[in-house]
Amino acid sequence: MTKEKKSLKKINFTPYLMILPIMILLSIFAFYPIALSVIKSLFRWSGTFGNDGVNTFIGFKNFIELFQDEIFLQSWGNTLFFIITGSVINLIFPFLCALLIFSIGNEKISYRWRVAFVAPMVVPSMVVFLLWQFIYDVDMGVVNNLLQLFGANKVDLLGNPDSVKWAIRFMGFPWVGGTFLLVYIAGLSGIDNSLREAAKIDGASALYRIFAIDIPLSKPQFKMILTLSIIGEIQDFVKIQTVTEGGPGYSSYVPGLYMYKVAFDSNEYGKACAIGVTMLVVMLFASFLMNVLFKKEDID
Amino acid sequence: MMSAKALRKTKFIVINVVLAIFLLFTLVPVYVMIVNSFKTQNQLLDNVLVFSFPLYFRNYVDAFNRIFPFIWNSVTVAVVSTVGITLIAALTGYAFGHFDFKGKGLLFTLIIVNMMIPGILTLVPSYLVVVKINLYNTQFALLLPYLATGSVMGIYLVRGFVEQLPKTIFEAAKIDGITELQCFIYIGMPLVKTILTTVSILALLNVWNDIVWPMLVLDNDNIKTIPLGLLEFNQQQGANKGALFAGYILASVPLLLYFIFNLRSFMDSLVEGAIK
Repeated sequence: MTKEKKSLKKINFTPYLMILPIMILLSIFAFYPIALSVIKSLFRWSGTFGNDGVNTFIGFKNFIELFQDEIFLQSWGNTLFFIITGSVINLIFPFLCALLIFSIGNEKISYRWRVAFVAPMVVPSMVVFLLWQFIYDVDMGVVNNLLQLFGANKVDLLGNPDSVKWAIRFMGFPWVGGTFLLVYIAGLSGIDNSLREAAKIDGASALYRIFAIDIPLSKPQFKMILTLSIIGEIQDFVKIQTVTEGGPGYSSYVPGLYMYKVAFDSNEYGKACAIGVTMLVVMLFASFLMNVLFKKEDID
Repeated sequence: MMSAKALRKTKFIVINVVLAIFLLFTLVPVYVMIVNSFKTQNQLLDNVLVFSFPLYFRNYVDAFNRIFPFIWNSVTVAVVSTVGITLIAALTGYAFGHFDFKGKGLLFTLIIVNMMIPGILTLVPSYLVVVKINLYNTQFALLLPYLATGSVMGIYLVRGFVEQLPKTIFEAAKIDGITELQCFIYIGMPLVKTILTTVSILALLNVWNDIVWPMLVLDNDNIKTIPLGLLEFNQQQGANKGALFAGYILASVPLLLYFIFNLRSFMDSLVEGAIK
């Protein structure tokens, strides 16, 4: 008893004071919105606080409606396309490029290549989106200019439901620049070089060494990039909003864009929160799946 | 039969050529942007693939007048939030790494759990909160949420760094009778300078490239950031698209300058930020 009192007296308030600012900020701009989105997903809500406006508890009705909603389902179908193609691309292309840069073996030259591939990142992403939109433009775009040179007919890659998703996916070709490349290179540099030397002495070819050493030992990087790709593809709707607005029709619609429209065009904020929650659930499931998948392989 | 040396040399050349091809394709949009920024509308209608002569420099004047206010807005928001995020990350990270106090584990978890909450979940409710507390269409609508969510990773990084510092450094200083605050400023901070550079670069990149949030909470040309300004410019500039490309280039300049002058730490920070 006396001991407790003594320790109470000795409480140092300094750390609490240092933590206070971020706690206040997070309460307003993180904890409260998180709670709101989970709770209001069960409401029909017009986005108002207090007593004015619609705010009725409707249980899981938002979710039930969503899963009967063609647009919502198609959005997830499109996202699935982007997740699968995006993951495959991010597992292969930056890794290939990383292998090449790493195998130069000259630190100075390899650093220069890394800088060269990171440098385009200074172009704001909005500019990149608009440039690709221009590249695909029907009237004056780069693709159609090239086609004209060869006497071919004009194509509207973004305006055609069959090609629009592939055209969006092709943006950023050859997909090697940026952070993922650096992550792979960091991974490759972290592998004990004596393994490669030993394999070399045993007469293993360069290709064999890649498959027997570099790829299996880059597993943590693959796992991380796969997870980041999936989460990124689920969340990224600005690119699509800028380039196609989800069109033509709903052929490039994604859940994030749908959430945006449901909230700000139709003011169905409860339903928008429900879409957000479904996205959270899918992302959590994906991360869980990655953990299981990569752990199992490690045991084998 | 090739000698080992010749073989190595061939391998070296092949690798560099393949990388050069990769880089060329990567730079296609940049090339398109540069080439077309020097064209009049007629030159643009003629071709968009190669330079047209005479080069038309006036585009840059037109674009500068249109884009500069947005660049300035972006720079202001980016600088203020980057400084703020770095300060908060330093303060909070130091508190968690240096002190022992009741509830430390719980409080830290509460903060770090935000790293796992996707921004998309809170987008709509955060917007409503901002409207509710009358921040809509002010620069604080950007700044305060950036400080909140943008500091989380920095706190994690700084704490990890401070924890590894030997306690003896601080003990010696305390015997000399300096206060906790002096300890933080004069001993703690200089020791974590490298990690603070990383924190600030990552914050800058995130803030600079953010599109969705400003799009939601800003509706006034006087405070709109670059992405919004470009989007608007893009929608209005049907008659002289060349100026648009010049605008794209101008919009890339600030970060390019920053990149050039902080090359090493920029490269290191990207890896650090992704791996953690």
